[in-house]
Amino acid sequence: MGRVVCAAVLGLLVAGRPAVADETIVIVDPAPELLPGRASSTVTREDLDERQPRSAPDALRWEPGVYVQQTAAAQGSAYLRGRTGQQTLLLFDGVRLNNSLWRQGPNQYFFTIDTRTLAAIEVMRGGASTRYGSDAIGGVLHAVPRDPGFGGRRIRPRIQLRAGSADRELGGRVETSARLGDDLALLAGLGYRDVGLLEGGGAVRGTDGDPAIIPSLEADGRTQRGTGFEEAAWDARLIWRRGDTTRVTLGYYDYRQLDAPRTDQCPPPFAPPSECLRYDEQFHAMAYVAVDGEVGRWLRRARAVVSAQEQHEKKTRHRPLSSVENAGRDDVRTLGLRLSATAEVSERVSVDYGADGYLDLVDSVAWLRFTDIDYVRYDSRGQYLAGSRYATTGTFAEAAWTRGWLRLRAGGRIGATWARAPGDVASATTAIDRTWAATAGVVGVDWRADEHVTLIATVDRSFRAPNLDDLTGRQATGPGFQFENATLAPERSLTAEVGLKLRGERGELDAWAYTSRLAGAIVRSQRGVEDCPDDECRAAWFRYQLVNVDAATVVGAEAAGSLDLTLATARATIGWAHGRGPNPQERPSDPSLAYAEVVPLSRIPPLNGSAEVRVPWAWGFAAVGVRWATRQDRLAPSDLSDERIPTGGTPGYVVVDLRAGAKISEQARVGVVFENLGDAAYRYHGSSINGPGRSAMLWLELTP
Amino acid sequence: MRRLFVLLTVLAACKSDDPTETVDAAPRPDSIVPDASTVDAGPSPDANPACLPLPTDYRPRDGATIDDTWPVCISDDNAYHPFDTSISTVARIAAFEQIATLLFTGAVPTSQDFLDARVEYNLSNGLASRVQRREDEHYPPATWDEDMTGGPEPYTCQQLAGFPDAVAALAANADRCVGPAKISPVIEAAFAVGQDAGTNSVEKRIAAAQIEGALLWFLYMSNYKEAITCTNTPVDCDSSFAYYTGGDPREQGRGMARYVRALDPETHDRAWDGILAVRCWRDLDNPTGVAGDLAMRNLAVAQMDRATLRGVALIVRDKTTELAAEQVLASRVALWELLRVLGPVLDRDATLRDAGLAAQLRAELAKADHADVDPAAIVDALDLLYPCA
Repeated sequence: MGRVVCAAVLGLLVAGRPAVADETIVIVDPAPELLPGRASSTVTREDLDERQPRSAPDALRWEPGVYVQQTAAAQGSAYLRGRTGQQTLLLFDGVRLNNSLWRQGPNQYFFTIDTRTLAAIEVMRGGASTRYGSDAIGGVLHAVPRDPGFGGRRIRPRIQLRAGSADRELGGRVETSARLGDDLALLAGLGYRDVGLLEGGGAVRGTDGDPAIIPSLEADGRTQRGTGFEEAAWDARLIWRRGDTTRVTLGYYDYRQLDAPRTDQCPPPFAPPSECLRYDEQFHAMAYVAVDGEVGRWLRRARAVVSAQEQHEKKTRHRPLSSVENAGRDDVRTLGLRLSATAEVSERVSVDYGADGYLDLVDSVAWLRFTDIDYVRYDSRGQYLAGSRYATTGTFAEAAWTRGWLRLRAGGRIGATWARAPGDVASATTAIDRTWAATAGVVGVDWRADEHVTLIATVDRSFRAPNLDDLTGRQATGPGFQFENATLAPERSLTAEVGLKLRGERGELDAWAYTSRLAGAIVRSQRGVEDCPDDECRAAWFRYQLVNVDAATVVGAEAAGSLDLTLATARATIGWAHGRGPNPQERPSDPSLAYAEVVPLSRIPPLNGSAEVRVPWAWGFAAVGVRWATRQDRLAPSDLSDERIPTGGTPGYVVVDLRAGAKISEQARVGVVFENLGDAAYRYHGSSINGPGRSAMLWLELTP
Repeated sequence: MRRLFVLLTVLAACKSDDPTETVDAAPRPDSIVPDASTVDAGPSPDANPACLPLPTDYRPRDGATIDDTWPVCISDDNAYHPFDTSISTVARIAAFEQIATLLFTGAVPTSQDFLDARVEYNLSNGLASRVQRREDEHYPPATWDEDMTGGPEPYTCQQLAGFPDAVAALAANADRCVGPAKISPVIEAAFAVGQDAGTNSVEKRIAAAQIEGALLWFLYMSNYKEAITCTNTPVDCDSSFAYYTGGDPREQGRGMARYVRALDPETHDRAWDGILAVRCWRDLDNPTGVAGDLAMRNLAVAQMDRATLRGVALIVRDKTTELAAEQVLASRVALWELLRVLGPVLDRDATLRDAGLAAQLRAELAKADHADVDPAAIVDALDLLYPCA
């Protein structure tokens, strides 16, 4: 039966498809496949223009095996094969964005990439530490920036405007692509956005029928408190071409987000409605110089990148009933260097190789302010320890041998990670000075059975070294107060995956299955007050500390396919993950109390997927999209105390969107997205916010 | 134009400067908080042989359960067995004791003492966070006609605090919403006075006394409230225990237990018996889920509340006796302010016991000037209203 189905699918794919209608030329750089032979997908510039995502994480909702969680409207974190945050690697133009302050679980940092500057987002699912080092366990998200154009008019301005009804968003971007010479071009832009409170489709309810405590809703039962923010971004990208094979890129990208509440803490559960934790300032700036070139067969696709980044966060917990503010500032500056190239050893053998290193410099402070008298008292330490340092470095090589329809891959990385932080007597914080050796490896085989069918198998070993957030951080998290564990060891994953790729004239299908075992998985373990290092910890309802557990496993499958229906194109995705691991809590001494040796991993996404049908025509397009997920009631122990998850788990949902766009002249395009036509009340598992209710988003692009 | 201005502001948004730290005065040396009573209160009324437990009382001190009507349960060994050994309330009582060290020693606190105490009060998930949402479960749930249609509906006090007309809503439900409506305003106002370097020593003494009275009020109220909400959330019984005892064993005690044990060990022990009765009920009544035997619950909670209310009465009696003997004007004023805060806590229960005596007590506590107060009338009323735990 399986063969019949496969043959039927293959038949549809090879039946041929008509040409796509011409559209306005958009500046696009085709993104090279991040890691050949691995599970991957790409969000193209066209996808971004048509779908109008609210953010870079939001842009990934239609990708197979990706599930996006949002703790706040101004934040978003993509789950790749059940892993997120520290366990997924984010790249911007090949530059590592992950730094040593990224916390366990979802984080907001991919949100700080302006999608309007991107040509594409590459999504690679699965381990990739061989190429990219620590953190690439669940996968890699690679944001590929747009390049200025070298053809056409000398100066090409562009204005983009957008307005949305769900959150009263109003914003836009102005940019210009300037050809400064035959071999010199500049793309510079400036964007701004003002986003209001997000209106959902209503309250999301738990199995007890009660609305989830988070988010707090206005009297209309739809508008979510603790949402809304402002952002501005500016960027400049200068490309200098030297001959046919060499180019120098200077890039500067600056993102600033202001006044963004953390929805699950605005207000916190059971706290007065006026209490709110806000990210007053969430900034990210990066500057880099990249040299791409080729020098003989040993330095094909050679690249050298020197980068400097700064991540700045200032947040304040406002408690007006007591005239109190608890605030803190955390800064991390990162210097980076990455060298990579491909050596064509022979006609059949090529080797990708390189080396990289990144150094973090951390500053962190916290204070209390009595706002009625402007009294300020600094804590002895911030969320982290000022003066901390963190470095990660490595060298890698990955070879590929190709003969006919068979391709073998094998590679490895060796490196080291170093973490250093001062102690603090007043807060009972011990100093740390730790070093870990890091190794990774990958082997794989791609077999092209014929021109339509490729089978792929890969075994990957990746790793994640504990970072400064794990080793020194103290913070209020969703489930409770988390304090540091200076003795953590690295996580090491071993993933085996098999894939099937079908390619035909009428469409394609990618299907993958994997099992990933994470030794030394770092998870939250509940602690008692006697374990607490300070009073804030002791007074918390729940207290957690990160610990290494023996092994956690995630198995899953994902698939994506597209089909040409002659007058339309259909696309569908599906993803499933099942995660489990040893219970991080000790068995209770009372045998009558229930205890499970093996428990679900935290916030593993439910079975989910999407489907789209797109109809193009000469001057535009129309599309309908469906996003769905089943209920997720497999909850980890820490999930049970996480107020972001309704009682009994997160309900399933089906959300239908309509999109349309048209070129109304050579200089103008317009479009609309009608979101959530059914006005469903829904949320992505683990999120604090509910998805937008029935709403519309209008966009206009002018290229005078 | 506004959006353009905001845009330009955002674009120019440099990182804001860290605030300048306020220079604190020299820290006060740690001091031991004395027992609450400094005046001989006379023989304990519970020395009266007529003060016997009720036939329905749980009596763990008597050992075998045949001495009471309660089934065998976890509290029979006369020890408190928490649902969760990590009781976060203990940290809040520790903060209370730290505040006591700074403000309740009898000496005149300095402005710095008030600032330090205020920091303790406002720790994350600390006393302030709980005071601001404390409800008095002796009263029915708060109601409010928010949408002005169809009559009032029940709300939590937290919900009322989020309404546009929150002030009116809380005021209309002040007895139920005792934390945000009554206790928190007293404490916040007192801190504002005490931390002000321009206030004099008398004002600072008054502020400290008001904070002491308000926090004791909160501790009593929380002990009761958590015992009630333990119906749905078993670990709230642990909080109830800790709000009275500070997590200490029967022979010791912090927070309210420290005061009561110093004044009358038998009342303290009766409070403990009541706490163990609550724990016994919860052990017998679906300990891992929602309790259903409300009759047993009410029996246990009533036993505990009788004892803790007598504890409040003893504190009020003790402070009144101290007032009667006090010659220093500043101390008299401060004591009276404490009594004006804590004394009315007894009014609800006193009225149920004896409306006439309650009215007598109420009338005395309503007097604004300590010089007009008849301490003997207060003591007599209390002795008659609360002869036993």
